[in-house]
Amino acid sequence: MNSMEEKFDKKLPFKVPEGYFDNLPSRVQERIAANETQNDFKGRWVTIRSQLAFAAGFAFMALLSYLGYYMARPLISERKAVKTDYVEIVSRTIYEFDDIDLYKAIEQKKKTDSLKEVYNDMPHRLYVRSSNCITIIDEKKEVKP
Amino acid sequence: MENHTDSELLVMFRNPDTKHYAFNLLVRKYQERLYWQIRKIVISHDDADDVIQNTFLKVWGGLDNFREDSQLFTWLYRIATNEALTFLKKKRTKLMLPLVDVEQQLMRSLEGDPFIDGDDTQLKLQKALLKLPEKQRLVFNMKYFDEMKYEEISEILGTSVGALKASFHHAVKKIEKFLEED
Repeated sequence: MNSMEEKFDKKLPFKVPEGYFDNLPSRVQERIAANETQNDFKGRWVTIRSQLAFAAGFAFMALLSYLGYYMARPLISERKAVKTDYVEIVSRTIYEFDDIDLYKAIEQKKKTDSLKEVYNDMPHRLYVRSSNCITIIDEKKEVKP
Repeated sequence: MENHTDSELLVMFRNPDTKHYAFNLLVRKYQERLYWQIRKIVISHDDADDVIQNTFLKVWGGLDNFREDSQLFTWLYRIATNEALTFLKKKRTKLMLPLVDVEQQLMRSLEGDPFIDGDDTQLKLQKALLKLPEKQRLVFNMKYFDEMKYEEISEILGTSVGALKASFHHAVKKIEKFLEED
């Protein structure tokens, strides 16, 4: 170490431009002022940006809800009746049935209970069938010998 | 201007009316010592100029939180050293250079910077210093040129006194070897 100190003085081989240290404090102050203005702008921009982001998010969610609602509507109107819907239909139309008519129909059915009787009594009918509609166009009773 | 103590400067700095004035005094008081510390690390004047301005910007932003647990100068010195080291690190990352190339760049600065003004022996010592690992170069600079105590260096670099002594010892040995070989 001592030998090094003997060989090399402690002077650095560097220099600075003339008046450098006289001007540095004012340059530093300028940088600080510029930085504060920039930070102020950045701060405001961050606030505005977060508000814009919130508004955009809200608008997007609203749009999504609107589209979701209107796209799902046709599906709701076109949906098929499910089993439970008949309960509602029956309960709505139950008062349109007349119990007496029902009993009469059952009584009449009992009289033609035998298949043979049904066959014998059955007239020969000529009918036209088209799609779901059957139209009887002639009826003849079979004449047994 | 020079008569203000660190405590007085800090009191003035905490007063919004005298904040800028106090900071100006602080810059004037410490600029040279900090500049030379930075310059020894980054070598080029232009780089040192950038780094010292960044250092004072950091000081401006952090001085409100300075709690006087350590000396103001030690705190400033630590910021300046870290800024200079970060500058070199960024340079390395930015240019994707290995450690050796940065040393070569610093060596070129030593030869080509217009603000180098020294005799051959001074330049020779600086070139030898550039061959040292970063930490050893730092310790050597602080001990040899700034004549700082190990305790002070320890506070600035956050390294134990024992480790610093060892670093300095190794640095001296290596420099002597470089100079003998040269």
